[in-house]
Amino acid sequence: MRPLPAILYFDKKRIVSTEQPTDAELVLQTTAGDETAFAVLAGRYRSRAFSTASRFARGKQELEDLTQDIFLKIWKGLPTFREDAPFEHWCMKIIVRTCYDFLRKNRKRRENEVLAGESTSLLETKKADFPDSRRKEAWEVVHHLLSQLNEKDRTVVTLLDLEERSVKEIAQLTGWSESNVKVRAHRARKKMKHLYETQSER
Amino acid sequence: MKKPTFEELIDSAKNHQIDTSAAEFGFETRLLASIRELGQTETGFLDVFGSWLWKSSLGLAPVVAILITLAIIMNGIDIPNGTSGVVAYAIDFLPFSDQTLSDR
Repeated sequence: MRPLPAILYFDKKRIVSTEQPTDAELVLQTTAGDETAFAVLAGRYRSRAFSTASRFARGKQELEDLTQDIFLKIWKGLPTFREDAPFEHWCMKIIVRTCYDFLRKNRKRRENEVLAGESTSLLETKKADFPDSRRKEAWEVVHHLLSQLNEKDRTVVTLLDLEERSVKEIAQLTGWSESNVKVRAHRARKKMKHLYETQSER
Repeated sequence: MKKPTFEELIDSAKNHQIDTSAAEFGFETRLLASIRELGQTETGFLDVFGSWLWKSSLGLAPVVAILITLAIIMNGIDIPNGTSGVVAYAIDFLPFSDQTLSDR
């Protein structure tokens, strides 16, 4: 038998790729009890969840726990998912709200971390030759400053300045009004700037 | 070395990509294991119903107490006063006693 021309192989691959189930189909399969469908869905949104969660969690273990919590909430909430909004938006709402809840739950521990961190002076500028290490160092400083804000302010600054989301989008994700988001962002930036300038003077 | 401004600091922090590859490795497998574990420990209908019944009965306790009080008042049952009042009244109904305590 003659082998098929390459163009057909290419077309076959294209057919396979277009036959991938949509999010809505995967949701239906999951609610019908198919766990592997949920694994596929989780695989699609895993990177996004990890990217956002990594701005809130500290350390690998905390990040794993937070992300697992996000997907367990998605799993539990799937029967209530209505297709009036895209799954992606619904999923992002859960990601952001779980991260916010995480900050609220761990408030006490974070306050202790801040007190302990003051003596170690994270704000000292060190000599760094590589841009990557400077970015990492900047992130450490910003993380330290963020940990001194309240949960709502921290969520807004993280989403607005670090994740580069719009005010409108943040308002939709958090359920807070746009003016509330703007006011919080302004106040939080001012506080962070003040902390940065005063703490690094020491 | 010149200290970066706050705006420069935020800009640098924004461009820092946190490496999450180690935490992402085998994530779906761990997630499915957690979901299965969750399914096994999930409470069944009888557990939920039993818990609801218990909570409801606790909530109804004051209502039952009020109903008993009202029943006593409306039936005009005369509970004697004194330290042994209620107990004595109850004993009065026992079969071995054919004489009320108040008569004694």
